Amino acid sequence: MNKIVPQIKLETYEKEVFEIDLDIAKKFGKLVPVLQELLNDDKPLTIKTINSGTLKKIITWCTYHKDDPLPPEDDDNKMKHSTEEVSSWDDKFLQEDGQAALFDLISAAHTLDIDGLLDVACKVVATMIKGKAPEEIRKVFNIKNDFTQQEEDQVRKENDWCED
Amino acid sequence: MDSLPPELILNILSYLSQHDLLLRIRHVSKYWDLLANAPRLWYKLDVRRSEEMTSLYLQNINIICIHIKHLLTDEEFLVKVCSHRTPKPHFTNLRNLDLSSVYLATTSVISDFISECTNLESISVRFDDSILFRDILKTLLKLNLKDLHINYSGDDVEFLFILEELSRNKYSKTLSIHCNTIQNNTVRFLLGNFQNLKSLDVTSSYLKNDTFMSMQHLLSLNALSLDYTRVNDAGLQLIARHVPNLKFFSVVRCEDISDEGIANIAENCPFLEQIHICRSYTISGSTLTAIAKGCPRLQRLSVMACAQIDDAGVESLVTKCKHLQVLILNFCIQLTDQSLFSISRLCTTLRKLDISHNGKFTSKGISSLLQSCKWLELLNSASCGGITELKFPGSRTGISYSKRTFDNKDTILPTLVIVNERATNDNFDSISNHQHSHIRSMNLSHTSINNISVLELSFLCPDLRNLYLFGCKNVTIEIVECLFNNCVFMEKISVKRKTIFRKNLFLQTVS
Repeated sequence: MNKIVPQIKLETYEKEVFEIDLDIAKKFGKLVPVLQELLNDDKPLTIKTINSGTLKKIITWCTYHKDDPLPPEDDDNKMKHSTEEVSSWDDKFLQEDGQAALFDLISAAHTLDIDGLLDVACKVVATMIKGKAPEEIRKVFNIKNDFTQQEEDQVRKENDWCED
Repeated sequence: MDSLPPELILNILSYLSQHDLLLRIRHVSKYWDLLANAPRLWYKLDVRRSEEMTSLYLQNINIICIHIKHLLTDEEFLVKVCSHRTPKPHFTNLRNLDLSSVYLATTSVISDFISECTNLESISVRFDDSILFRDILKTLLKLNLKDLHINYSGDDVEFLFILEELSRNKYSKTLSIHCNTIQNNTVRFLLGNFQNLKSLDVTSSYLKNDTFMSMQHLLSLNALSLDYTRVNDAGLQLIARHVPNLKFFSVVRCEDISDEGIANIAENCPFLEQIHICRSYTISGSTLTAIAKGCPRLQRLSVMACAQIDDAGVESLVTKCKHLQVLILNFCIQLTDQSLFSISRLCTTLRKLDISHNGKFTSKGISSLLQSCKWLELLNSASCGGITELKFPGSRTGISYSKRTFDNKDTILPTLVIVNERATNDNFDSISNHQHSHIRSMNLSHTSINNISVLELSFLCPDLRNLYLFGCKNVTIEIVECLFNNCVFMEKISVKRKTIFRKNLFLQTVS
């Protein structure tokens, strides 16, 4: 059982070094060739925008999804942008650490170019927005309303039924 | 959220409905108002059946209409846009316009609208009258289109007029035709005069032996539907020689075809991705073998109610067609569990499977499917009388409850649920995504499945959204609450004659 699994090293914001199996890192899209070059290098690749907690979560996600088949390539699927497609495991996994962690995860998935994770995380956030009134959206994401009273009234007035 | 870079917020917004984007998102804050104008959110717009066509809606459309390249519209929207006082939206970048939901009567409105879209490349129109068509054709020809899609439902003679008009104007760009119940001569004219035919649907038309005699080589034809026609093997043989690039082929309820005809098509059209055959009583397993040999790119196959199809055919199909995603085998009453075992073994990437109305399938076959085809999203096994109980040895996602609990059905249900809740809280590292089924919709109506089996199913399939158990005598209504607890995404469950929605169940427990 002395099989050596090729590993790559990533250093996070906290200067913690993670060793990741290459077959998990293959999810890292455009980064893969860069990482492969670093394989025989002792120095880790430093990514300052990602903290250790987020990287741990990313590794867990990639491990869980490492055997997923590639998504089908038909046009229907490219067009289809619905939020229905999240699995219960992903939903639970992404929401368990709260909003801030989820947003960290989104930007980290973007940095590391992990399409599948970025996709599913964005869908989870979109589900939080879907069908909500502007006031509710502001509340959920803590966004300041910077419209003046006048502008709001204008909107309300125009939102009446349009009779022709 | 605003700490994310704008392109990532846009990524999130792209999963929302355009209705949300138009009426809600832009009123959250000034920043979001700006984001909601981003071109990438608006390449395609579907305004059919919009309920809230307020003046605010139209005004917002006005802001983003410059980005729209693909528009699907209905009559109401066209009329509203054309009569909108100030300022009138200009769809100057529009490339594709889909008017197939517009039921004419307003020729002037359509002409008015398309005359302003100077960059239009492709258009879909629907007619039941050639006089209206002539009116619009003048406008269409001026536009220098690259692609025209005609959906015609009306008199055959009138349709021939339309085609002759097109032919006279030397229309040479790609053409898609969708029409029903037309005469042999019209189909002949079509096949003989329009070399750039891209898609052709002549459902229920009166085809004869000579229909395909004068057929040209249709190199760009990639979809052909001959549903409900009397096309025969000789016809299919002629077709097969002229359409090398066919991707979609449908012969639903063509009762005059047999194995030989389909084999000819399969041999000559190596790019076929979808084949639909239905109720052709002479089609047998050798058709599937021929398809397996000739069409390695096949993604969808429907052989509904082809009673002669056998297990050997299914086996050779799943052995060769590695891209198969959708397989419809309902009413194929000769098939046995052996087919389900072949599928489980060789076709684990299947997404949709319909095996309903076959008494020969048993619990064993279904269990093996559910355990092997982890990416299955939809399974219809209704009216498969052989399904009695489902057991999934060892594949339950970390659940450990003793065998003893099975016997006492009534008191054990709540306990099972609690045990399961703890089980799914397991640490995330230990399980992998392909250990549980990803099924979203399952139909087990009119089978003899029982409560415990349904519970087992809910453990194996945590992503279930819909479950149909109509007319299952051995399933009781009490089970529903447990199922909703086990499958967090479950939207509705149908038991006996009732359909129970999650939201209703929730309301009941509150009150």
